[in-house]
Amino acid sequence: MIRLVGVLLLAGSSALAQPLPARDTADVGARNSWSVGVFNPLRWSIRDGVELEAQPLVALVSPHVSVRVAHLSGRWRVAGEYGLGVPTFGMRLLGDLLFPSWDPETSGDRIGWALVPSVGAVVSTGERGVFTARAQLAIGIPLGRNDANPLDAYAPVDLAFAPALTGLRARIGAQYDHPLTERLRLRGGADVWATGANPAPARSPLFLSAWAGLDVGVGASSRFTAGLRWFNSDQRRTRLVQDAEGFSTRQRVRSNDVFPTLDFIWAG
Amino acid sequence: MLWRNKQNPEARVFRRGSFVLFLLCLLPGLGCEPFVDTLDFERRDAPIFRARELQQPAPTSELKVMAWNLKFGAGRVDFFFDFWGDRVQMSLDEVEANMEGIYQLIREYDPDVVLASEVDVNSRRSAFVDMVQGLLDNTGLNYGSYHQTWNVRYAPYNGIGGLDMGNAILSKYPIVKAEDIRQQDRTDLNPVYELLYLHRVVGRAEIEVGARRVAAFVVHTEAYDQDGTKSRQLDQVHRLMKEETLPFVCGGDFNELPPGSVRVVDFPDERASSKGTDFEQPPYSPEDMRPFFDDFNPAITLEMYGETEETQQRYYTHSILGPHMTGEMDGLPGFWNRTLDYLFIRPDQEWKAGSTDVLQSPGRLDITSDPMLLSDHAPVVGTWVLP
Repeated sequence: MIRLVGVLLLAGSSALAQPLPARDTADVGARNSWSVGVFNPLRWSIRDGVELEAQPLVALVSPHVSVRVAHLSGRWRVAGEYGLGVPTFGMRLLGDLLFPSWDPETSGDRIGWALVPSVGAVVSTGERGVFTARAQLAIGIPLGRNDANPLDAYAPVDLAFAPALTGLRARIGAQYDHPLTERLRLRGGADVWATGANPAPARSPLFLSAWAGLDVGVGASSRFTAGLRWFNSDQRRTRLVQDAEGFSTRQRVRSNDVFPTLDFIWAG
Repeated sequence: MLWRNKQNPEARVFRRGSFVLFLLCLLPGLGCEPFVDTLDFERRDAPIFRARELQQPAPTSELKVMAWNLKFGAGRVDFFFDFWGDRVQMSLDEVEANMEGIYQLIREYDPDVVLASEVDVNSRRSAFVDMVQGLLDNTGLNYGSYHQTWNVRYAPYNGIGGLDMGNAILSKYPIVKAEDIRQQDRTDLNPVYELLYLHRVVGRAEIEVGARRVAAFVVHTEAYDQDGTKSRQLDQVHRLMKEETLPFVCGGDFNELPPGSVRVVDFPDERASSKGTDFEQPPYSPEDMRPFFDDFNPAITLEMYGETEETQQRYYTHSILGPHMTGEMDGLPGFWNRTLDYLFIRPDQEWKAGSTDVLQSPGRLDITSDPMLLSDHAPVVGTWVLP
């Protein structure tokens, strides 16, 4: 691993094409610029100041697209994000696993159709070190009957399906993207998420998240990314607490999970 | 009971499941909570709980005992693995209504000790209800030990999700010590699913009844193995009972028929669509229960059980099929059709005459509740005369 990072650093420093820019900011690329990762979405600027965004692998089973529009440029840059998705195909594909494989002839229960429109605002400032704040809102509009419930799984999974299953996903967050060298950027940020209501018993709708990562420039404008993301959320877990007499009680606790984030982002 | 093996015709599900399981195991590898608890112990202390309001039990020289598989408070909700329905999850209202029926029957019979199996405490399928605390707070039982058998944070199988299930020993009298005794795991599962499959644990508790100290065992042995696991688990239970030095009662869902059972195949609650799946009923081996009847004193003796289906059906304790549906074989509404649940005490100790029965329906031992609506198992009861 150390050898791999060394090779990447060397490759990055030898490329010297241009400084590695900050990413996931309010900056919208020039016409025909693009980037795509294995996990990061495809971004393609159809004209100056207008960018289309979608995750290609996910879009195959869960069609979605977002339009990013630059509204303000200069010292403070502001972009708007306007999206639409139909997650039902993907949810049904995950029947047997994350969702029940209901039998139409038994209960008739089903994973219902839903539209998920979203809107967001991103504000960035700074040239080398870039500070970015964002707010996003996605809502689920049911199209007929739906019997699927929130999954009570891991935080990223719950958040992914929250609009369709709880009716709402809201996010506010901030991040800072700092260049260590021309080809190496250190990034970190924090987010607060909220989802819609869950079936009883009550569950906190708040998700907290913080993350840090390193981007290593590879070639002219691509990069290797690695990092960690921590989530704190109510996953309905409990712990046993023993009193002085030796009797136990069960107490609700919030869960803490740390996930590795790895990707390679091609850009042109 | 949930995991398909390589021989299963639905291997596609297994392959997809394996991939997702792999990802789910990998991703939270750095997390602070384990993905699954493999219950890696031979013997350990078990947690003891108590009711929010304790009720003073009367001094006694006998204990009314009940062994009951509660089907995680599902009543007659037909879950997908029973092949009579496709449910994977209940609402909180459903679980509370089902549990209220269970509380009501327990209050009616008013046992001193309950040996309960399939008790959920924080499972998605049962709306995360803590059934141990619920039983303590809604019956006259003051103390309870929980013997966890299944602790998976998220099972990516048909939307089941998180599971925390076990056995429980509940008592009016103080439980002063509680232990989990690990049983062997199945060996016929794929390693990935073996990791996530439920385990089997014998619960043992020591109860102080006045100046006496007695032991109680709760048992729930394997149901679907094809590799002799259940037989080995029964051997271990028998050995634990032989080695016990305190006066004891042992009960629960042994998942095995009594020796001499007339009907051993073609039960009317079986569904043709279960054939070839992991939920197909494996052949029973009633002779595996013979040592228990030879060496201990059962609440329902083989003499009571009799030698004909007419005499034996009075003591049947299990039916997957509820009264709201009819069987494929006989076209009749579901009713108890086999005996899987037992109560045993030492051979030199006694059950109070006329006190032992299976609470199959209203009227048995003067109950008014209908146990057929409350679980897929009927309670086995008896009054143990303490030595």
